[in-house]
Amino acid sequence: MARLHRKIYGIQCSFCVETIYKALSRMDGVKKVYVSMTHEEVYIDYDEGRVGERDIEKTIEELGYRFEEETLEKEYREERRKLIVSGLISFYIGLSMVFMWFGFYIPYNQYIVAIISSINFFVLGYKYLAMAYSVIRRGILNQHVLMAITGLAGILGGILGFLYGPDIFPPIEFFGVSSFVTTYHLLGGYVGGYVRKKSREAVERVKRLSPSRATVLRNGSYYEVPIEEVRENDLVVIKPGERVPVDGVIVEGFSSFDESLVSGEPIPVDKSVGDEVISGSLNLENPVVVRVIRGYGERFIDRVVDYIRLSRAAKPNLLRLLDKILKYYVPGVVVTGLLSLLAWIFIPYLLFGALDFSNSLYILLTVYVMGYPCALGMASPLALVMGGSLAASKGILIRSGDAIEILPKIDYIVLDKTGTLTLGRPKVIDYIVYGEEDEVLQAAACIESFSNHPISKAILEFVMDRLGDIECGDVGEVEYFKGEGIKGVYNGKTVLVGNLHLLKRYGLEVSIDNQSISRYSNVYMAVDGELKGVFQIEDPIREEAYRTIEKLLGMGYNVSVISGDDPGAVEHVCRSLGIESFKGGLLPWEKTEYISKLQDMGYRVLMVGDGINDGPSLSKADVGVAMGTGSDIAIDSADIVVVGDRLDNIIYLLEIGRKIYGKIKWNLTLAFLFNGVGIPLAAIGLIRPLHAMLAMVLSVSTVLLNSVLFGE
Amino acid sequence: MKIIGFEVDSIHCDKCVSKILDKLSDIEGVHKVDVIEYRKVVVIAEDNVEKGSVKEVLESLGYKVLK
Repeated sequence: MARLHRKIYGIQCSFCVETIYKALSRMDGVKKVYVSMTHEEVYIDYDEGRVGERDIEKTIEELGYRFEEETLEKEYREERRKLIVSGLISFYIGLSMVFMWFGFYIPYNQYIVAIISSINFFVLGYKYLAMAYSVIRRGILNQHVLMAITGLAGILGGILGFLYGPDIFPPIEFFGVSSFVTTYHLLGGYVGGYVRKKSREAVERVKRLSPSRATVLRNGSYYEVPIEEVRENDLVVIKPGERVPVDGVIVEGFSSFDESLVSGEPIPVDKSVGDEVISGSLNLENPVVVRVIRGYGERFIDRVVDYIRLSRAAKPNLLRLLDKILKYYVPGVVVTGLLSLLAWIFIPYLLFGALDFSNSLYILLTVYVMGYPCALGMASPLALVMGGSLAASKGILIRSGDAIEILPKIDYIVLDKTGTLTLGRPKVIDYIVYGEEDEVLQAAACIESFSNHPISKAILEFVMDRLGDIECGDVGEVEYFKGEGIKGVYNGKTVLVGNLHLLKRYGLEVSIDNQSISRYSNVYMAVDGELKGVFQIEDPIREEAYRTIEKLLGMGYNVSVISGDDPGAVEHVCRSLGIESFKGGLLPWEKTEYISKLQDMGYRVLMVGDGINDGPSLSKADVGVAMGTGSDIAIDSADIVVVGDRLDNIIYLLEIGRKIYGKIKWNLTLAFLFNGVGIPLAAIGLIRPLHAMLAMVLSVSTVLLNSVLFGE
Repeated sequence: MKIIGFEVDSIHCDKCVSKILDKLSDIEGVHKVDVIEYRKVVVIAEDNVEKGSVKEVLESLGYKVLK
């Protein structure tokens, strides 16, 4: 049993997923197939003895999908050129027909139209014809097949026109249809591709680009090597400001590490020789040397990524609205055509004893010519473009139409704590000053400015928010006390900033009534042996979290919080927000289990998170929403990214999601409407191919118009 | 010694942060540079360092200084 995981490009239509799924599932030896449209990837379990990796890849390529983005980029430009040429051809045909109505005939026009339509359909549309052929061989009927049927009916009708005269088979109209179909199909493909490309680029821009190289100490020299080459027992240097690239044990130096994205612990952890550091955490203070205990492929991060793939794979593929319609529509068109052919042969024969094959054939062709709802490829992408840009202006990045289709069905919202409900970093939330406030704050800031510790930075930031730029005068003789604080001389006065241990070291005993819960770190400040200030430090709840939660509960959603942080801290935050269901101390995979339990109970779950540890649950949830300030891993796992980093965007997302979905439904209705009316009319012989062309133009224009009218 | 703060429009990746740290640290008289939350830049420097000249360097790196 082997497993194949590949990024694939070129999934542009909602039907593609099912096509790939069906085609691969039918291969001998393939056990399980998962295709994700949002993440453009496939995941296949197969029996090595019966089928090779290369066979699977070949099948995917044959279906018209690519494994490299570059080829896709080139194809995308080529597609645009094709679309322009195809558009010009159809435009010429349309124009020449308008001329004809006004009595102006272009000489030999029917031959010109015959040639350019055939070029349009067979040459410019070749890619889709090939795709149609490759799926039809596998017994799948998708929109490419529909396009091929309609186009071929047009070409055939045109040829019959040359053979039997334009009275029964008007050649320009028939050829014109095949040209129009090609142009609209190319346009649909192009619009879909454009939407995917844009969303891919937008997501790339949000990502922070985690390190791909590490500095390794070998034989006394430093080497920068790709992360893949770092092995167990290598010595790796991690500079301040760098993400820890491996799991390891510190052998030299000490520093504090921000593990908020890894474990949900918001307050940085001080570590020194002998302590373990985890990949994905951020080194905040000093350079350290680490002995690798788990190298590339086995790191904490790699385990998380494995879990993400697994849970993404197990996520059921959503049968999109369009797919549901097409499932019945395509066979319906084929059957209607054949039935009307038979009816038009036998009914006149039974009634009048006359056989009129050419007329019956005409009916068959007009039904097929009418069969292609031109706006179908554009219905969903256009709604997504318009709604998506509205959402983007509020800082919400929607990666897929899939997520939009599930959003209205969501009934359970699960949130991460650190970085999602809270800011995810220490801040001064309250303070007491004894004496002249500005002077005390200034002294604290000037001393703290020497330290790299995140709590020092929080105090510095707090003072600067209040006082702006600060003139410090003389500051010196700065001493650091690991895990305790900092001491310095500020304009002749000795200043201490740190915890109770530091004050004790200098003989200061402090007892304060509002000695708040042990969870919060208080930072004390003393000048010349006298207590001058206390700063209360906490990872604060986001300002907008209160109203967001209130509103979500008011809207009838179930809300729960899951976190890797200490259960007590989780409870405290949830109690203040009025959330009754919560769980702390969870590992990444335990978070995923929590989500799947909810799903087993029949809930549709939306998960909001930001950490590396949220990655698996974001992929597992029906809709995953990542906070844009979070880890690349969370962003990669999510269907939607809140770039604006505001929690209340979730409310807006739920609202706009409903609107976009409504728009998609409307667009699909419009796309099918004209053909829905046209097909029965064609079957009873009331329609010319010309009407099919009109229906195409009308359906595309109305869908365009409906999408553009995406008001707030 | 003094502490100067700037608010900058969207610093996007860790690479950009280290570029800012490098360039600003190169200015004579600058002791230390911090970037907070990809938004705030804090510079600790000698008294003779002009706020304007630090701002110029930031802008030359392509960042819009908001405050």
